[in-house]
Amino acid sequence: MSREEKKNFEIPYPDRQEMRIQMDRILDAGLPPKQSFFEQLKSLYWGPGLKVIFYKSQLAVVMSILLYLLVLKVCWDFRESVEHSEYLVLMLFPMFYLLFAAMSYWYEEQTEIVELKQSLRYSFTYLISLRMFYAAIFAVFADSVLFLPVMENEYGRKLVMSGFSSMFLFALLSIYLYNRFGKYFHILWLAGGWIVTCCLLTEYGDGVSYLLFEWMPPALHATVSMGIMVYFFIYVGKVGRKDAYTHACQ
Amino acid sequence: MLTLTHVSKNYGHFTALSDISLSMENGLYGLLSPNGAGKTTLIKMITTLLTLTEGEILYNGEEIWKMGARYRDLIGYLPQQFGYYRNNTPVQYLMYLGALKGMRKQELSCRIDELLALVGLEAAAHKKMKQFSGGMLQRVGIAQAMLNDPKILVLDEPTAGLDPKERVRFRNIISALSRDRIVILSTHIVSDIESIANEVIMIKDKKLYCMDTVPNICKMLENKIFEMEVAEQNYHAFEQSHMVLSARQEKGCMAVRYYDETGFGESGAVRCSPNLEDVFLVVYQEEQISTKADLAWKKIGQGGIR
Repeated sequence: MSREEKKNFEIPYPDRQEMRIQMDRILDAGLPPKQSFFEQLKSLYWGPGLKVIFYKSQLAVVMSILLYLLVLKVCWDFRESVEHSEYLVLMLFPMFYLLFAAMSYWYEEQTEIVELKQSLRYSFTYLISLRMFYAAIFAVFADSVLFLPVMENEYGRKLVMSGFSSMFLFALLSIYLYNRFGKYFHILWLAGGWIVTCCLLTEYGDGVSYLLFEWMPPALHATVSMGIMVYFFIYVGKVGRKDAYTHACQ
Repeated sequence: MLTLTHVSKNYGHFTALSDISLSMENGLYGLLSPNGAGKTTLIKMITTLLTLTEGEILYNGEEIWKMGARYRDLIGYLPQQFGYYRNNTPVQYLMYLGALKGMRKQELSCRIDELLALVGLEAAAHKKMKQFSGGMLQRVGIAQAMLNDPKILVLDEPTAGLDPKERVRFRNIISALSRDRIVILSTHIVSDIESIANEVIMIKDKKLYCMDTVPNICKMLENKIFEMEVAEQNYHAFEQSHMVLSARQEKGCMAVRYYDETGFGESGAVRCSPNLEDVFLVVYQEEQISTKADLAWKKIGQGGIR
């Protein structure tokens, strides 16, 4: 090649902007895609979608409703004969949720599909947590409609807020218990303990009534309810993020 | 590559597995040991269904617990007790499990058609699974494990209860799948893996006994396996003093295959090439036979056996 040819020989070289674009493209291909906050929330709390979350849970829903109506009937029949009938109302708040949780877990375990589901991206524990999450939201609306007449006075409003607190507290406990022990009968123990406690309070609950429904201000009730509800939401998200880790004691 | 380093699992004072270290690349690995040896425990730790007491499991250098959902996207698992919804068709069942694996609907439809063709169930795609035989159900099980095209396919006793024809069909499917992924096949049926496994992993006394190719494992018993004919009236005494691997009744005598640690054999015995079943029986019955031999020697000393 002559000197003149060498001088005129141009080597194509990208400019800075082109180099920056190429580098960004390489980094985007290598790094995992960033999700927006909304997409993260959707991924955690929507999961595979409601149809998949509630797949084959119709029997659990029907049985829970029937059992709940039975409990409601019994409480209605006994309301006149007890001293503190407000505890019957309090007992009813988390009852549908607890029954649905126990029925859901029980039915899934009968199909022997739990172990297989536990190894999937949306593990069984996570799926059940999402199911309980939506059941809790539904139960809040249903309880609000059912117990609206009770909320006419401040005493009634405090009672209803205590009910919501108990509902979210049990929702949190039942997801934690299933995460921890992998068995559904702990939830039944929880429900049984709650029923016994409320029944005892209907007769001997003077002190607790004063504390909860007279002394405690509405703002404190609301704060406690909100606090437990927020922690419940956060805990469901935690189960979703840690779904590769099992607390099974087997 | 999947690497297990000093993996142990304890339940209180009970040790299920102790200090297991091994690594696996693409290919078929047979996990062979008798019931209760710890196969399912090991498999459950690999599939993140059980926590480890000690050690770590790494996939391409990354700890599987820290990978979270990314690791679960890489595994396909067929458990020993494989549950299903009886009124579902295979298509409905696979669509549901595909959704739980985070797969999109469009992607799933094509994938399900491919998998049902692979396992030979296209004709039964829309029949209810309660009408299926055991073999057909296991094939649906394989199909669900393969939905997400896993890099690690784990099968826990997949051929239990299947007839020989189904087992052969199953073996052929698994063998084809092991070309570009890690396949771990847990079984106590030697014939399931003898002809297809790249390496066999044997667990004994809760520890890793060996991990090697089938020919190398069989070499452990080279020149120690014999066959001979034993008169029927002498068979009982022969069985007491030798480790009989198999016995077949023929005209007036028993054709016996046995293991002789000394390598010399009885008069009239023919030396044979050991197979994987011989190794399995010898390795897992050593403790039993030493007790039997001790008893036999005691009886001889007391004039019991002639």
